[in-house]
Amino acid sequence: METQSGKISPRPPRFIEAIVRRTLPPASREHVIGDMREEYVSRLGYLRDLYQTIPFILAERIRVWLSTPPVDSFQTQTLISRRFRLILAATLIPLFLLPNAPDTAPGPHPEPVLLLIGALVTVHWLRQTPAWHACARVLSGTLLAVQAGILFFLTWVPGAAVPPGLARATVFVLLLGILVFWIHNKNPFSERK
Amino acid sequence: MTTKDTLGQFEQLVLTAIVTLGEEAYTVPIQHTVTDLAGKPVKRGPVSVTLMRLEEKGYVRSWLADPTPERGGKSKRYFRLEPLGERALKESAETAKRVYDAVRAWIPGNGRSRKWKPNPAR
Repeated sequence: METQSGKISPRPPRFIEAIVRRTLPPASREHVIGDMREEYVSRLGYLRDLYQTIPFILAERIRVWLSTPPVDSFQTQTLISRRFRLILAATLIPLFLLPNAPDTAPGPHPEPVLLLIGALVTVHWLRQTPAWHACARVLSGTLLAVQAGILFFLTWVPGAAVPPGLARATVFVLLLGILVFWIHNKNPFSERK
Repeated sequence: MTTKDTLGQFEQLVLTAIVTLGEEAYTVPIQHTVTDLAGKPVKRGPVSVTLMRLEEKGYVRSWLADPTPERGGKSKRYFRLEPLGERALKESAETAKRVYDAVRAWIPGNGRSRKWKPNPAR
C-alpha cells in the first residue's frame, strides 16, 4: 500500500488479517478491518487492537442470535464478561455433550465426563478466588499447558487410540481454560485503569 | 413527545460524539471523541457494539462510504443521528442538566448553596 509521499505504509500481517476476516460476521467485516488497518502502528498494537475489538463484536452477535436483552452499563466488564461466560458455556456444553453426535465411538467413555467435571470444578474454584495471586496464575498456566499437550497428542500423534468424545472434551477444556485465564488473569473485557 | 427508552451513559457519550463530529462520524474518530468526553481510555469494541445497538434501536443510521487507500481499500462506516436519536439525546441532556443543577445547589461553599426544589411547571 502506497501513500501520497511515495512511502510504503506498514500493513498488518496477511495471515492475521485473514483470520480476522474469517472470524468477523459479514456485516461488520469491511469497516472493522478498515478501522483496524487505519489505526495500525505495529504488530503488537494490532494484536492488542484485535483483542480489544473482536470479542465484543462476537459477543454482541451471540447476544443478538440468542435474543437476550442488552445490559446498559458503562462498565464493560459487566457488559460483556458475565454474559459472555454464561452464553459461551450454554452454547458449548450441549455441543460437546451431544450423545448422538455422528463421530462418537460406541460404548461408554467415562474420560470426557471426568475431564468436564474436573474443568468445571477448576473453573468454580478460580471464580471463587478473591484475588488473582501467583499460585493461581501458575496453576492456570500449568493447566493450559497440560491441556495443550493432550490436544497435541490427540491430534497429531499417529495411532493414538483415543475416543473422539475425549478429543472433543479436551478441546472444550482447553477453550474453557483459555477463557478462565483471560477473564481472571488478563481480564481483557475490563476498562484500562 | 418523549422517547420510550432512556439512554445509558455510554450511549449518551457515543451519540454526543456523533453530533460533535458531524460529517466525519465513523468508528475511529467516534472512539477518540468518546475517550475525550469520558476522560479515560475507551476500547473500540464497546464503541462498535454500542453503535450497532443504537442503529438497532433506530437512533442512528449508517452507510458504507467509498474505499480509501489509507485503510487498504476498505470502506468507512459513517453514522448520522436520526430524529429519534436527537430526541433521546436532548431528553438525556436535559435530565443531566437538572441533575447538575441539583448537585451544584447541594454542594456547600460554592456561594449559592440552597435546597433544591422541583420545577413546579412539571
